[in-house]
Amino acid sequence: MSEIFKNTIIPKLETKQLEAPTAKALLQILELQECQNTEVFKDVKNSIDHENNEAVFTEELAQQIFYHPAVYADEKEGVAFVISWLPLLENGFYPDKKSCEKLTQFLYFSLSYLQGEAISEKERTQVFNVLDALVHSESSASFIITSFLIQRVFDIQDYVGTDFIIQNCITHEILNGTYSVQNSEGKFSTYPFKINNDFVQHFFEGDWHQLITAIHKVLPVGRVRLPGAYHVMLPWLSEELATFYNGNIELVYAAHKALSERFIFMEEEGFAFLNLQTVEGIFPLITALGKKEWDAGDVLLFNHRDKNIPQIQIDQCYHRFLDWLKADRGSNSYTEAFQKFGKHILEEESAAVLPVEFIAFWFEKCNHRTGIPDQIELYNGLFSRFLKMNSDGKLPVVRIGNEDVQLTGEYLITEIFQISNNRTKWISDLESSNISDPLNQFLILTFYDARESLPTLFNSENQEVIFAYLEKMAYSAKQATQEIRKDSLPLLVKTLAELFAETNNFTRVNKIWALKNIDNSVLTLCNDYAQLQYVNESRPLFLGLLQSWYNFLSDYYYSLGSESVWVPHMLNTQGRRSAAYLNELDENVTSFVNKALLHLFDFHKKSKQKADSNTLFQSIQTDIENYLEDFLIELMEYNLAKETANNMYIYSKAHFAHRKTLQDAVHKFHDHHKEVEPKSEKAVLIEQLQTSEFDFSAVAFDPKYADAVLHNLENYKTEGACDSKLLEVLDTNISEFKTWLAETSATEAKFIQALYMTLLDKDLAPETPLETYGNLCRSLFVKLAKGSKMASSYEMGLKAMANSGAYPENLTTALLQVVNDLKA
Amino acid sequence: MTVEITPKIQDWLNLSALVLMNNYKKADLNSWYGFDIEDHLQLKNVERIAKLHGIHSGVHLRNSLHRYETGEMASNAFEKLAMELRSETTNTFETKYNALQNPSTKNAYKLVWRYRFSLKNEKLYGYEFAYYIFLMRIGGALGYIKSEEIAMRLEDVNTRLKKTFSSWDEFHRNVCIGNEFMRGAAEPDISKFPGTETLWECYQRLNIHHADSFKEWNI
Repeated sequence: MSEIFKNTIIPKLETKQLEAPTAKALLQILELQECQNTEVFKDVKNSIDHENNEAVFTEELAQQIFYHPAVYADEKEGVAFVISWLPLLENGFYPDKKSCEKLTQFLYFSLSYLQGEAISEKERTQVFNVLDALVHSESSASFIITSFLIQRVFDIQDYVGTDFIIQNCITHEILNGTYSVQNSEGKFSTYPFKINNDFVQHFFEGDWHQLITAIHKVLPVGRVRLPGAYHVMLPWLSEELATFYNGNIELVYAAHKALSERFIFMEEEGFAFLNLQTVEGIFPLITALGKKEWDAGDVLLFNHRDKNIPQIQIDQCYHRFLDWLKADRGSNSYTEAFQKFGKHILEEESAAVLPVEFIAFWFEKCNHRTGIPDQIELYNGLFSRFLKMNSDGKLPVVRIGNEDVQLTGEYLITEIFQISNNRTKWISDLESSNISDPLNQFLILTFYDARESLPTLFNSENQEVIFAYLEKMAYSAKQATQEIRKDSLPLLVKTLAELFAETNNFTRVNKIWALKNIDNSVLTLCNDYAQLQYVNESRPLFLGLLQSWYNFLSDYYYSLGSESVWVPHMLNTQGRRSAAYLNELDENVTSFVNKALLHLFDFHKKSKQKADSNTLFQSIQTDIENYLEDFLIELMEYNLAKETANNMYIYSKAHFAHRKTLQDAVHKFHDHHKEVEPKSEKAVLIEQLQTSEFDFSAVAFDPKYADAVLHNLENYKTEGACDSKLLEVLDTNISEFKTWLAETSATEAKFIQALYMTLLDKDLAPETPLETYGNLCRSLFVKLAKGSKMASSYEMGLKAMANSGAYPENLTTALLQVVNDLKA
Repeated sequence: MTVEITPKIQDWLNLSALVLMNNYKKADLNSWYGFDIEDHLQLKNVERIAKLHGIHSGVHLRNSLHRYETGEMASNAFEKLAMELRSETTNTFETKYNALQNPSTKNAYKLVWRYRFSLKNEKLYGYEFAYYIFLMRIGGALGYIKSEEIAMRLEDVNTRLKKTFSSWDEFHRNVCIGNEFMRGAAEPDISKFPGTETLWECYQRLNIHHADSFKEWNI
């Protein structure tokens, strides 16, 4: 039983005029207040005892029960009085409008008392239980008390009182659920605590701006890490509020300001508020970030966006974020906002949400030539994700406009980097770092992706730049990690192979081929490329190419098959083709073919000698035989000099016994020369001279002797025959000989040269088996050279030779003798 | 696995001793590479020399070897000029020579004139193959070529050189002449970087310190 009810209210009750139903209600109230043993109770009970009416709680009675302004004069009593309402409220007996207004006045003035130590925790709870019951009642009390509480919540002048109300409203969940308002017909309608037109109508005079302003004012206010007005509002947030914001961009900006202040002052997020969503799924506070110039607060807000916001609504935001990063020459990256939130924005989602412009930004910031070291590290850390999305050599997916777009190298080159032509310095700038730099890896990926269009995107001059760049990157991979080598090198080589697929520049081909040694991952790629360049039937042959084939045979041989690995392929497939090419050539190729065959035979012979030590040599031998067979079958007979044909014939007999077809081919050439080349006049003559009965002293000079002698002088070393007899003929007929020579000066020079060479030949020195020949040469030389315009230079030259110490004594003496003879 | 250096292989390697010494005074003639590749500074030096010769890989190395082997580096140019000069007289040569402007061309003319007959057969093969072997050693140090391959190539080069020349002296003179042809005469020059020496100086030193290695011309 409540003392205050019994002592203060009961005595004041006017029961006389009460109608029976009302009296019945009073009786219930008294029962609820446990006042059955009071006089009043008995009187009222007696007055209605025999009547059987429904109880009716009239406004008049309500005032008798609830309206006692005098009680409020004493705060302690006032509180006790309010608390005493509880049993009544629980049973549907609510105060009328007038009493409620009085109550709100009391509460407003007693706020500090209510917070003080004068009342117990229990009492405080009970007071708020009363308020809770009133707010949720279907009575006129609901609206009045609700209005009062909402005003308190938004009152930032009496901060302490407001906070007290707020904390208790939250604890007791008072401003939740529904409230009631009496309609024009006097009936009560319940309304949810949701911000909508009704709500605004009821509590903010129908003025949305008033509500929004109030909200913005309280957002940054409150105690750190404790619930505040915001938390009271949380249940009220509604799609209607979002819709309203969506139509009022200026208010959104104000909300941004309020929210970011809230973050700063209270270290509290306003996640739900920030991510208000309209019924159409639009997040007005977030999308609006895409329409304004950002400050640190916006970075913070954007970082706290809902993760389910459709990408299309935030595309613009990323652009604004980028603008912010670029502003003031990038100084924003040093701010706390960036360190705490900006980084996180870039880290949390996959790179696919970022607009393509971030790639350009990355390249601008992280360029080693122009960038700032700590920013380079920072942004590389953040943007390397553009690389890691794909392992299959694909560029990342990013946002272009409002679309997810699979990036292409061509697009990056022409639109983003804009380097197609004449901006290749940009590429060279990147050379200052190595392949470990993520930018370079990305650029390699870009070139790789665009490899097929590179020849059209870049003219040959700029292709040089790309080549130099890629080559440098490739070699820098030696210092890179295994992972980078495995990822980037194959892309790099494939790019080069595509870009220079049609090159005629074999220096370039070799440079690309050479990359094979950097890492095993590109060994086959490089070798395949080289093979395609060196052995390609769709391209014309040329002599230099054939020459290089033979050269590479030696590499293949010496390296035991580890270098020039395409040589066997060449040997097994190109024999006929190379011969057909030589057949078609206009020039005389006998000397070339001779050299080539000598080279091939040389390696054939070496391989054969070593065939037992390594099976590779056996296979090289077979490959060379295959080549020769195809080559010789196709080659026209006239392309082989007789000497070559003969040497080959001899070699073939010894080494090609097991290759019938090859031997037949060799015989073809041998037979050809046997048939077509009759013995030359010279040969007949020499044969004639070698028969001993020929009388030389009687022989007169004949130009044909001169030719024979010249031939002999030039070739005695290789042919092994020193024809002294013919020399004697010339020596004895010197005057005719000289006369004839004077008319053919070219032959004269040849003669003197040939003789000069014999002077320096140690094998013809005095006291050697060939001394006679040597003496004749010396004598003839003196006779021819003496008195000629060349005499003095020969004299000096020979003297120098003789004094050089390079020759044995006997030859030195002979040389000096020649010098003296010339002088004499 | 590195092949062991037999006395035979050592003799073959010695064909590049002069060039090696010229490039690195303290070179160890009795090793595969001449350089100690464990020594960081020496390895740097090897890399520098390789770069100087445009050798960045095994492919580059072997292409370089081809050029030395086929006479492209020196002999072809030498022979072309020698052929031309063989039909000149002292006077016509002098006129031609004096008309030349470029000092290095002048040097080449002078040198070729002197050897136009005497090196008709040998050309500058001695010089070219000495470099051929030297570059193999450099390439070997950098891992571009294995010692097995060096040994096989050495054997064939040796055969060729021993047939072309008749003594170490003759061979070494050819190396020096080739060097002079390629680089110009090493005139005494007081501005010369201290510590460097001409190939001729090297040649003398080689014969003083390592005389025993260069006595027998083992065919």
